Amino acid sequence: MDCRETQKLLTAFHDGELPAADRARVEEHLRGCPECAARLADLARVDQAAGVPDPGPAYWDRFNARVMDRVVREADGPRVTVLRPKGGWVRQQLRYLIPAAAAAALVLVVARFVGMNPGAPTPSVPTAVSEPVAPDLAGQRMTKAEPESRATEKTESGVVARPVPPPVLAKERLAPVTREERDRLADRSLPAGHIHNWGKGCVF
Amino acid sequence: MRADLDDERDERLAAQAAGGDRDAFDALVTRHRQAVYRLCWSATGNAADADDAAQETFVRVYRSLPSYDPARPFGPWLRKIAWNCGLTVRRDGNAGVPRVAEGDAPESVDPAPGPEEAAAGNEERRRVADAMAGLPAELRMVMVLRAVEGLSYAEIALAAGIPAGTVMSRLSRARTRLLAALGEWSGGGS
Repeated sequence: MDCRETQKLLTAFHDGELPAADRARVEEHLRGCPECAARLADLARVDQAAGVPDPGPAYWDRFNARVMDRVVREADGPRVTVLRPKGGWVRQQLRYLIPAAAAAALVLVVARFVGMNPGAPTPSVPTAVSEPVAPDLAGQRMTKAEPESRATEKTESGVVARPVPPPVLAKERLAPVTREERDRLADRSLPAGHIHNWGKGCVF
Repeated sequence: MRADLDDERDERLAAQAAGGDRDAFDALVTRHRQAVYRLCWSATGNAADADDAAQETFVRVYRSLPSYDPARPFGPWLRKIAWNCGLTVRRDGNAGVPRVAEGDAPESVDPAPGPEEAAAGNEERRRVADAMAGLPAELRMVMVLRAVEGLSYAEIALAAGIPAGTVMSRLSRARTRLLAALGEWSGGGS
């Protein structure tokens, strides 16, 4: 047996795990090879130095009581709460912060897109003409359009109870509008139920 | 601990503990706590995590006793739980594992074995301890089970769930690394 083969078997030899026949061959080689014998001594040396640091007698004095305390607590109630998560704190926080930041960024992008996109639906004059919001004199409904809001304020303050005339298209604004045409537009823009109120309570 | 439990086999104690005998369970803890702690240390590489894992190991053992079969050897079953607890503590950074109060944590470790040891021996021991902590867990495990616990390859294979041949190769690699650490310290190789 040469040094190479011996050193392959040296770990198992050192640990007493070699079959008897191999063990005898290794022993024979070791008797005549100081280098392999030194290697075997190294294994013994490192095993002797390798150890797990002992935490000390005070630690062991408390060990069983701590185990039993936890066992009893688990038997009596829910599992012990985690007192101090360690190591992965930042990772645990990021687990929630990253999705939250992504959601916030998405909301901002959508809001900016809607605000800047010329094709996005925005209030326009024709729309207002086709569906104007009438002042709600009973205070049942608030409108978003500024003129209507002002009209409502006036109404509530009792100064003027006058409906806001429906917006007029730019084209119509340039052309002379007859009184009949204006009345027709006003009638078209109002819900049927409000016409009587206008007629009774409003001063033109 | 009751004196009549001292000579009981592990499997018998486990059966008694499963039946609600807390003295029997206490005897098991006392008998195996150091080996469990060392195995957990080999999985985690530090004293605080080893303590967490060792405590968790015995809690899980107690919880699992009703499903334990006394016909099977207790030691490998216990070591498997301990190793898994050690890996869990290391992987999760203790998430989900109840953390011990600071006062219960192991004292700072002094690897110096005693006044009879020479200063050079202490230094060598410290170097090996550092190198052990720096080993991959799977190498540290076989090293601890063999060099510290004195288990056979078959027992280590059972505990680690690996073939005996892998045990030998891992031991060889672990010792080579540890010897390299010692060699660097002494300024030469072995």
